[in-house]
Amino acid sequence: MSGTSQASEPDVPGTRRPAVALIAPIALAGRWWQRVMFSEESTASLAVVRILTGLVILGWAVSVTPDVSDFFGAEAIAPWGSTAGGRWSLLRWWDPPGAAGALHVALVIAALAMVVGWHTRLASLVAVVAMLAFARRNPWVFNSGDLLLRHLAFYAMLAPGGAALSVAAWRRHGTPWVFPARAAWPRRLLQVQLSAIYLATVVAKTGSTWHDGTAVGYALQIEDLIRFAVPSFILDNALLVNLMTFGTLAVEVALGLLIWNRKVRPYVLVLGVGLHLSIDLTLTVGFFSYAMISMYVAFLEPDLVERTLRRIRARFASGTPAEPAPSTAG
Amino acid sequence: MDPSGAGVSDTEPPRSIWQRIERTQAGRTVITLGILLIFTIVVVWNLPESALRSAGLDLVRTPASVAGLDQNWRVFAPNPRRIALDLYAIVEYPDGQIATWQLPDESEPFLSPYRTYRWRKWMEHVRLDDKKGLWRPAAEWVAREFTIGERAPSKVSLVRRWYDLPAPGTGAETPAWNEYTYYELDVG
Repeated sequence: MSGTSQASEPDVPGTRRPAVALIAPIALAGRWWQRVMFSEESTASLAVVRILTGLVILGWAVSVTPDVSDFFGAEAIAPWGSTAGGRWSLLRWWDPPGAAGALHVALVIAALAMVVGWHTRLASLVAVVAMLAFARRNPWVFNSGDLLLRHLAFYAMLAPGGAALSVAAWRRHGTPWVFPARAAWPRRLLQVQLSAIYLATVVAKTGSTWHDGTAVGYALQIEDLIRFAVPSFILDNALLVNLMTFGTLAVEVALGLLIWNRKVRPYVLVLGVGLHLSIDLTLTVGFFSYAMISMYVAFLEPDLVERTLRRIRARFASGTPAEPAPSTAG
Repeated sequence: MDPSGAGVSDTEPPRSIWQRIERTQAGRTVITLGILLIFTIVVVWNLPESALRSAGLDLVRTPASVAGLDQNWRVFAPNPRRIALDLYAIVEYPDGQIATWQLPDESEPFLSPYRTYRWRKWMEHVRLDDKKGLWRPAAEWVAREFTIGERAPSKVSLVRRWYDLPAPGTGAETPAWNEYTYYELDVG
């Protein structure tokens, strides 16, 4: 069809050359990419992610304080980690006495800086370097939640989360309540990472207990992981155990896939928050649930987050306009 | 400046270097390459075990390790553990006195779990036969913990405890703990 057209012929529909037919979808994809990744939007969501991430990392850093030397010092409970990435650790190259303690102090300061939005990108970089150094030194004390915190710090390093609700914004504009528009790609990275986490965990749940619906029943009986014990009448009921197991899988699939659908997203996020709060209540999994919930904010529309924040502010600071002049791109 | 921030416009000239980069075609190309690299790391690392994953990991392992983007989301997968675990150490002194080291206390369920989960995670590893490399450093650490001045232990024994969890939904009783001394260190 299009291959028979001559170069000198006018470009009429149905007579374009193959090259043009090939370029058209690529150009379309390119425009889609530009729109999805580089259209500018309010920084409200990223600012909230930054604050929550900083708070969770701060909690992580404070909670590890009594054990820094035992876990990461020169005479720790474990030898150096043997993972493939073990050499990529600051403590490999710089390990004088007290190095782990100094790194820990740096991590606390970095987390505080992330919370208040003071040199956010640098603070996030310090958090990544410190948590990476600790994880490579002694990977046997880390769980998936700790790993996720490091990832969140990495994404915070790339994101303009410090442009809003921050000391930096206050110094630049005289108020932290600004939400300048920035490119969307850092939020997209968080979204893809979150979706991948749930899909990966579902795909990995290939064992017989997930298939026969007893997995959650087993998990909730692991004595060394129990935080608040689930009543035995629940664990002794096969139907309830099945419902909890298959329900967990269903919610995780929804968080991996359906979260991309705007209409069902709010319901999926509520289910996810419920899932993680119940995990946190019943099992000792550290900061995993809080890290995941912090990440959910990346799926909230920036304009909605901004409007909500301004309403909250207006409620607590009378006389301040709840709705701003059209200041930020949607 | 309006304290509400209403005067900040998205149409104002870009102030930060990041924004200036994002608004140039060259900058967008570099950022796009970075995004694609991160997406590739995320996708490849989370693939099921396969030849494709192995080949992909060979390509992305180094950048992922440098950035700390290696992934592991196998939470309670492929199955949750079907045993309960515990660990303690018996510390013997030359004069025959015996002390016991146990994992940090978790009787307070509100704050202490945010510290002790790391010890529990370590316990899952240090009790395993295929992680013998962790045994001696653990015993040496316990020996140091129980050395007070000149008084040092002569022997540290690591004891693992466990029981098989009853099948859920059956109402079966929780069985008794088993225990086994799996490593002994004579402290020189």
